[in-house]
Amino acid sequence: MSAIFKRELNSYYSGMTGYIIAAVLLGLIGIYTVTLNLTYGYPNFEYVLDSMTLVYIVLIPLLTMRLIAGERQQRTDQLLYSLPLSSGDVALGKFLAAWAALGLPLLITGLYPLILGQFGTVNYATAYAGLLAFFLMGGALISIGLFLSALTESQFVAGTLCFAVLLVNFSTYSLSIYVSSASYLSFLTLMLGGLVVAVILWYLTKNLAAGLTFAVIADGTMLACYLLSPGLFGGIMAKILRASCVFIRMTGFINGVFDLRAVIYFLSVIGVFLFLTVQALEKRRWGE
Amino acid sequence: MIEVTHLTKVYNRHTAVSDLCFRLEAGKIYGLLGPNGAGKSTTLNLITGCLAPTSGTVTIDGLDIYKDAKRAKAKIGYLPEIPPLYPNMTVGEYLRFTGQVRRLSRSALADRVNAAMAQTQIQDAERCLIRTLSKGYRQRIGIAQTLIGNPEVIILDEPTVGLDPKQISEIRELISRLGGQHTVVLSSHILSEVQAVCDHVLILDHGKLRASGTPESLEQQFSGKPKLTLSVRADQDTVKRILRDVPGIDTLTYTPEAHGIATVTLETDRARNEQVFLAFSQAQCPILQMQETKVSLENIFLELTDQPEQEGAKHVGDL
Repeated sequence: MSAIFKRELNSYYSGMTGYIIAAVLLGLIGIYTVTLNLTYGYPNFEYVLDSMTLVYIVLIPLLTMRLIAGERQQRTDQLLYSLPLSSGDVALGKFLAAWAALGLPLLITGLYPLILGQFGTVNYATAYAGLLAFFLMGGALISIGLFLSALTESQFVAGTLCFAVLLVNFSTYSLSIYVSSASYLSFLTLMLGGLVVAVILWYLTKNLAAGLTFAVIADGTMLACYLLSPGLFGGIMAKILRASCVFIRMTGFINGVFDLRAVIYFLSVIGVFLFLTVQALEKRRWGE
Repeated sequence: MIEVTHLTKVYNRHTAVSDLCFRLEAGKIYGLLGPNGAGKSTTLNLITGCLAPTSGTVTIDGLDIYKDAKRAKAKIGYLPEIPPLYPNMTVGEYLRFTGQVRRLSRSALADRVNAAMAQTQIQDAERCLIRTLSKGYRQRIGIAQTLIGNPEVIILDEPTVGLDPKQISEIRELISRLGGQHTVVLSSHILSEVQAVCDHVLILDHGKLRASGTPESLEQQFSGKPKLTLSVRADQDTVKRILRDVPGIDTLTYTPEAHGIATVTLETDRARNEQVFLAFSQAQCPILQMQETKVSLENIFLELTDQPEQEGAKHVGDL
């Protein structure tokens, strides 16, 4: 795993990608720091990070699109499959390298609150908690990008897909306001969602029984719940949309709260998408 | 060293490899021969664990390639048909990366990288970016990569494709040198290549093993009675009359050529060759050319791979 990590991290800096990521992050964080902290005199560095979350929609696809799609494109995936490595080693090594490429410029921005502290009062605890949350959120989004990169041979498709998914995810919280709270609509949407997940499961595992079992259990449970208590489904779609929004998890940290739930949320997203990436890599080995 | 048991791979509804069974011994060079689409690459991908089988097992030195993947793969060096190279790495960086994945210690890594580069004669390119190198160099880097962990088994999928004759000769020499120290499995659709470097040949077609054995034993098995080809100045009736007195001639074909010369092909025991000569001599019919034709590996290959799909393989010798 460490060899994969080192190779990937080196490859960011043997080309332009690593430098572009660092330049964009440092440049924009610098501009926002000057504007918010120096010009307007806010003592909160976390406000700068709040303004930066949108930048992830562009940076994360750039960081992740080639991770696995690139290996497939240049046929080096066969090397990884034939070497004494597990798919877990490959997924974890690549994920950590991309996360490190994001973390290195963020380490430099860690100096900013200290510099600002020389000129006034800075709340270091909220500033560094915000930086940690920003880094963890980056990790969660990288894991999504990594998974999407494992689904295709084209870096362009992987990057575009990642951009679209992050853009939609960024908007889900705002969209949740406009979603109907009618029970029957939520129920039907969830039933459809259950079927979609079952099809994805079938596609990833090539195991029809697994897909069918999931569909029967998920949709069966929802049907039973709906028949017993239709009120349960009232407004549930809006709740699900809000829960699936990764970007909104920063809010607590921006308001000066160390939100442990958000930390667990980010780590869970990383875990789930690394697992899905391993499944996508294994699916390729099954040659389906 | 390698044991393949009832190996089958089905892609959707297409059977790429069907019920393959064979054992490969340590230290020999094996050639996997077959036309394009015969299932050679799929078989090699299955043996190296790059693909998972629909059914069947592969063991490397007793280790199951799927259940005990890491330990089994540590014993294999694999060069796929398209060398899996990172164009933005230098040759040295690439080889060190594959050594690090194989968990070689720092000193062992330096030694192995130097040894692999020396074996494949690419020391002069150590600091060159792979994307700047020629196809021949890339192929040799691919082979060097297989040698890094000093694995017991080296598997090469069509290692000479796209190379010029000089490069082909160099790669063949390298493969010959590797035999003895390693078990080498080499796939090819080029007969002369397999004949030149392999101790043992496995002929594959439509995903099935058609025959296996040493090139000599295959020739012996498929040759039947030797064929004798004569070039004579005589008409068909004369030839028939002359040969009527020679016993043990099974089949006879007469093909007229230009200027009253004809090619006569007959199947007979080798001991009858002199009698055939004397019969023509006594009839004062000159023989312009006389040649015994052996069945070559090429004939066997064509005979086996031209056939429609059939069950079972012809095994020759001890596999």
